[in-house]
Amino acid sequence: MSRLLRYLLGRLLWAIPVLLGASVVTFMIMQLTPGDPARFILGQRASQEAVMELRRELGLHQPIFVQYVDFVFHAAQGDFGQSLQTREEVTAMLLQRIPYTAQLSIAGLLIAVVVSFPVGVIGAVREGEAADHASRVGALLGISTPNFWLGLLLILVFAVPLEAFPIFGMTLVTEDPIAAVTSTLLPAIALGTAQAALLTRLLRGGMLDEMQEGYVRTARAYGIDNRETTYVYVLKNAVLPTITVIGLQLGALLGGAVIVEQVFGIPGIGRLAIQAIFNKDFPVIQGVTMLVAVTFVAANLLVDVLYAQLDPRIRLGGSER
Amino acid sequence: MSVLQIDDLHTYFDTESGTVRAVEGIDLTIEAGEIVGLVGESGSGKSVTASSIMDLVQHPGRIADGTVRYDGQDVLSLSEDELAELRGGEISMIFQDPMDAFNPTQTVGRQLHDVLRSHREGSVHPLVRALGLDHDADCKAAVVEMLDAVGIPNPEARYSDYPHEFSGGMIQRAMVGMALLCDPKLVLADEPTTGLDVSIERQILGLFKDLVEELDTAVLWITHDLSVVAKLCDRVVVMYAGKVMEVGSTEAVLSDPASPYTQALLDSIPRYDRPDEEMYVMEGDVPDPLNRPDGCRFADRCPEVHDRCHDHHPPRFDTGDREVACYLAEGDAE
Amino acid sequence: MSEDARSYTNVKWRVYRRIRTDLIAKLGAVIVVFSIAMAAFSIVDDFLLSELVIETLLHDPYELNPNNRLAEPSLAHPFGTDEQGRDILARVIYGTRTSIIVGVGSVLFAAIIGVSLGIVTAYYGGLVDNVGMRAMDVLLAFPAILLAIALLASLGRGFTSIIIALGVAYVPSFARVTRSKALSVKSDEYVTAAEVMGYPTRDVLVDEILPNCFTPIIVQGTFTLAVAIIAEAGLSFLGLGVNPPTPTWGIMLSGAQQYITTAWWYSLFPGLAIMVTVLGFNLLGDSIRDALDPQSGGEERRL
Repeated sequence: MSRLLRYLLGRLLWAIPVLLGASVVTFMIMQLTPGDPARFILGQRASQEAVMELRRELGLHQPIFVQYVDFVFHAAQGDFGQSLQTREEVTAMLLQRIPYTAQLSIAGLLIAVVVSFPVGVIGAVREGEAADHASRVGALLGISTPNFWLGLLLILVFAVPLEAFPIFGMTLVTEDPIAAVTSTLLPAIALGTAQAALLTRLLRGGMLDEMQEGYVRTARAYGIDNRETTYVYVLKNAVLPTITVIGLQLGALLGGAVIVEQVFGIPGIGRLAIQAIFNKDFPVIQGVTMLVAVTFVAANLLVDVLYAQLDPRIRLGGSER
Repeated sequence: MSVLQIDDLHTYFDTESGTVRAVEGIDLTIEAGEIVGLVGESGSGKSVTASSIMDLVQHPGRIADGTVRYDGQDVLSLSEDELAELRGGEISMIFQDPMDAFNPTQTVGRQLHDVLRSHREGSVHPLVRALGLDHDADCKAAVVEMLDAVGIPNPEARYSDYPHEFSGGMIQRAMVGMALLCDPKLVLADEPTTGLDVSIERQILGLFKDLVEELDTAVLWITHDLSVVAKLCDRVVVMYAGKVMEVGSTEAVLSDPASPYTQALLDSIPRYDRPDEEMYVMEGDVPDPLNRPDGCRFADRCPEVHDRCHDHHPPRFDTGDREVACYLAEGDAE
Repeated sequence: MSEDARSYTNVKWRVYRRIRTDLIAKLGAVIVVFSIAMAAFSIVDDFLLSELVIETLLHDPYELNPNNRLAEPSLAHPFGTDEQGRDILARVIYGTRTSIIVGVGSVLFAAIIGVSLGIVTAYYGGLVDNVGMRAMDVLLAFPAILLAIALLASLGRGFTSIIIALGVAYVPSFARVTRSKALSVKSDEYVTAAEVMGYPTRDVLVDEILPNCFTPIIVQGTFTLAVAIIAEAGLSFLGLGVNPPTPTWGIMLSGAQQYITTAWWYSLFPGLAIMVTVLGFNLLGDSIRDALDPQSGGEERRL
């Protein structure tokens, strides 16, 4: 057990410098903007006093290192300052929008998993047959289709003729579960399809690799039911590495959500970020960026823990073969 | 009735570059309680023969011709279900690399348990077993007993260890345990001691001899190592390039080989008792499996080759104490 | 020392044979060549011939026609017209260059930095490796598209900005792929031989290690190109890409969104262009990977 603990501790120690680095990148977004950010934000016609005022507010008059320490110190407490546009607390703005992005991303992930598992497994079991070819072509099309275009197509085909699906906006599951499902389904499909395609390819490939393993031959030579071997042992061993990929995919889902939110008019953090970029609202941009990085790193830590729990080779140690 | 009777077995592999005739007309019988050695260099078709016995050859391989009879039953005509009963139950196989033969994410005990469970009456649905809902106390006790019998210390605790927690010798013992679990009448052992160090090899051989004696099991022991054959086997079958070159009692064949190939194999064993003698190295290579000679498969490397050796592969001549596929033995044939 | 040269020719030959014999690979290669040709055509036609060719064959992609707004597909306008009456087919053709330039540009940017980093970290190991790989972990802590968006927030719009933004986001995948290959190459005999013979480190890295890392880099490059084309379209769709009136598929789709209920063709064709082009690169990537190394592909793609 101590080995597992050590492994987890190692992963946690990995996360700290990564998040610190992420905070540097986030902090640099404003610094890298050419010229004086305050002048940039206020425009050429603003008075010198107004610019000085904003510089003070942003802490730009201080040395850069002090500014950074100040940024990290506040960010660590979840404080990203106020929006330059609306004067709202950035954290409050984020909290208000997180549920939408969370609902969309989780639904997208769910669709990706629900679709990819059967399709990937069938592809592997029926390798070379029509079902396999169909699943491979489908997966290729899936990874080649931009999520926002798929969103537009879904609107065109489903939302325009069918009133059940709204074209714009999203209802949270806490408000109205049924409306939540209908308003989340299309954007979730748009978001989840590429991930479903990726997972399908991975799972199919993983299962085909596993089927070449010695234990599959052993099971056959010992008269163990073929379905049991395929659907239980092979599947389990093929799913294990897929789990780590699902963690990485969460990043792709969050990134994709930014665009899909724009297509379906969902008031999530992606839409917030895009508006903030057009308004040069740097505190908001930094808040969103940091939030996503923290979520992504935390999700991957979680996945590592899960993976370690499921794979005895990590849980109990021993040499990788 | 013999436990195993193979007649004129042909197993081919259809590859992109052509058909590989891995096994070309093998005949082999094994009696109950007999240990038969199947010897040959790598690529001679030993392992394919073993897979063919249980009809385990997979695409692109196929059994092109011949019969395999187990206990009088035609194995190659059995249904998948009947084969599943036979495999692991009546005939079992020990693999060359036992670490590779076990599932890395399942405990060793569990894997043995599942083999036993799937061969017992009233087998449960695979899904139930998969979810670990059918822990059968009897099966577990039997597995622990077997782990103990094959000499794994502390078997109760090792039951729930994973393969990577076993040493090479211990995992091979577990593999032997798995093979003997359902009291099979025939065990096919494919180079089970290759890669183990000599002292562990000796232990495994001893273990095998004892267990076989006790259970009256027949064994086909596949190896390229004649010294193992000499220690263990009653009879020996020498294979080369998909063909049987010589069959007979171990003593007769090894002390006075009739086939030049057997002689060459014997000569290439390092002799510790005569260290001054220069070690014999066989010249030439095993013939390309895609393009085998029409005549005797060994003709190109044979020190005693004649003209007619290149025309036809020699038939097998029965010389009383053995059968030899070599024209040299023609005069001694009965 | 001829190992690298031999393996590289071998690589080319194997890919070539794959494309010759495999129908799927052929399809991918045809699509890729076709898109590059379209991109080259539109650059020449636009900047050297002032739209002469496309105007003769179709329509001027920039020409506004208020009397023919959102016209359905017809013989005159096979893909219909947009809200300004511009011919969509002509604009789709001209849009190819944005995708290809940004795609190739950002992949080259990412490859040059990522490959150098991968080779250097693998070769020196220790602290260099640690720092370099931690830096990659930091970049990987952001979803690629979000990192690009954040960078664009400070870089502003335009070709260069978007190439840099996407390029930075794709650096880690090249660095990781190269590093893991370089680690195995590093201990090969000819590298050790070059070191023993006192070759300058720079030569060992560039002449010995680099050519032997080509296989995974090429595979990674092809797949990243596919991802980059989708990403560019997405950024343009969000209004963060190149400046109008440069025709791009993403900007066209962003315009189409408003007319989704009335003009289906406006949303359909630019998106189809993206999908087919990306499919081409993915097919080619799959084929190259299968031809070169059936065992392991590039790193997992990040969308």
